[in-house]
Amino acid sequence: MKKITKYSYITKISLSNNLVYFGDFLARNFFFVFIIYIYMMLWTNIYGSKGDNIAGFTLNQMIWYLVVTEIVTLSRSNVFNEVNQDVKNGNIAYMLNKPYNYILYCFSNSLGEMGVKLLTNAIVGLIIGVLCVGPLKNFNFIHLPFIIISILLGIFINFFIHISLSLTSFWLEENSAFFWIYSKLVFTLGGMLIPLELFPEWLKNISLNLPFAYVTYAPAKLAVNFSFDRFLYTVAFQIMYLGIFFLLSMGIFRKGAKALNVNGG
Amino acid sequence: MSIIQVSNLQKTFKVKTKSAGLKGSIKSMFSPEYKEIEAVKGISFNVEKGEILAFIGPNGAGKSTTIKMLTGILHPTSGDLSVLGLNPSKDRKELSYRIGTVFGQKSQLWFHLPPIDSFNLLGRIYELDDDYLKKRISYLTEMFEIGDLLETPVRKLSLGQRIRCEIAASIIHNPEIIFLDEPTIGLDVVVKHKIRELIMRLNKEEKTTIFLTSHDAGDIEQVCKRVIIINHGEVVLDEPVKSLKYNYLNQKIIDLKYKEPVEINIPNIKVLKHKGYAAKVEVDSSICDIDSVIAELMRLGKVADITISEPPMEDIISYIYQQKAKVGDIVEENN
Repeated sequence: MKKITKYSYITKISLSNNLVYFGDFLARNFFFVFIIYIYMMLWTNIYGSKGDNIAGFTLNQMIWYLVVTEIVTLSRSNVFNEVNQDVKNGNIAYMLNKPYNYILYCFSNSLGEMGVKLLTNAIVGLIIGVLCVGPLKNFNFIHLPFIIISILLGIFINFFIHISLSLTSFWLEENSAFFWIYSKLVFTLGGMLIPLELFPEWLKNISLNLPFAYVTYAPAKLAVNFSFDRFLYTVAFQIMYLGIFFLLSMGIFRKGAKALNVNGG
Repeated sequence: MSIIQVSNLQKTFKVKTKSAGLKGSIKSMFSPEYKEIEAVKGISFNVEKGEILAFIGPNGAGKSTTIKMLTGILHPTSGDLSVLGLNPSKDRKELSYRIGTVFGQKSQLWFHLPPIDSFNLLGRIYELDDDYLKKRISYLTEMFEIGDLLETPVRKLSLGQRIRCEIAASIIHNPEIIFLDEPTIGLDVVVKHKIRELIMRLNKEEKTTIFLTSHDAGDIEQVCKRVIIINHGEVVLDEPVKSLKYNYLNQKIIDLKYKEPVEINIPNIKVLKHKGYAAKVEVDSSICDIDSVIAELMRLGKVADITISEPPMEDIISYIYQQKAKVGDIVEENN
């Protein structure tokens, strides 16, 4: 039991550590407001010339879809930089000789940050969504817990991909290119720019099977077009990818810890 | 029984090398060259329970690498290692419940939170009972005099206050051994003194074995009973701190004040300072008799005051570093 409570306590501490930044996080959401505003102008124009329904999305759904994808990615923790920093400045030495699993430690630690960010992003996202296009049509509050589960799974997959990438710093001096490439893949193949339905058929079919779609596209699509079938299908895929990247990060860590060369003497 | 046993411990790092300039950078992109650096070259020593050991050496001697192998952070390239009967690289987690570490230049406290939160968190991480943790925190609070700091965010603490909290945090689980890697670095004299006292008290009250690295001769002289000096990845000396002075420096410093101006011209002594009435000379007792030197100095003129002292610990250590470096060079040249 104590083995589990230590992780929940880490989350509790990191939650209080991150609440210090609550105001900062809210302020940082200026970017969120800005990007949705740009999308709003873009899509209003497109819908103006193409009609009310594009690839099964109304304008209202489209904007809410984009809001949800932004909520997911903006709620990522800073784990990529933190792990990189820990390895680069040698602080990792303090992390390694504690009786916990380092990956689970980072996850519990990030939960606090992701939680506080999710909260601020959700507040801002709801306000922007309502201001831009009004409440989401056909939305049923009963679906909300299911949508939240899918959003959380998306955030967690994002976390484990980030930590897997950052752990390459055990071997590489400079690995920020991975972060950049990954975030662009989520932006495009994850459906943050346009929903996957607007892709050509072949690309859509490939993207729907890649992990990026399950970070952002899947929970956002579920939010604007909810059905229990879709929920089960989405969550099954998400859990699969979560498992894969969880195991991958554990594996990389185990190998990396052996190859570790602590910097700074 | 030895609680730390190290034999023939070795650690080699592979480091990417690059020749100077842009050309070198391009070359290393296509055919990277690696250089093997032997940070620790087969060292052996034992540490007994309850000892206070200084593990010192110049920068880059392999001290921190050794500590990191002892605590399971780095895996040795070869050699045998046993800490509390465990193999650190295999039983890292199990070992972590029984050892504590302080890296003077790094922090394990949460930056934005008061130390009490970090203590509670570490208590959970080490799976301590709530009652025990409470008692332990109040015991350490009293011992480290950090009662009024407990609720202040760590970022607002001074370095001296923070390091006291760091050490308290690293022994929250009452470890059998603590590894202190330069705990007094950057501290003022008063705080240094305080930290030394605390380390000694810990050793006395809790029978904690102390494994300390430092560049501060005072830490070694005032705290430690035994010293191991390593240089270039090898143990160059392993003996009680007390005998360091007797064995390693035969030099004595004699300070004299005469009542009249004198000329000093005695063979085999080194005049460090001489100005009119006062003189400071160094005598090597292995080449000449101290009493005959003193007799001769007295004969030079009427003496108002005389003091005989040993050179400071710092000089002894730097002397050993240099001596051993020279010996090492000769051996390498012969090879």
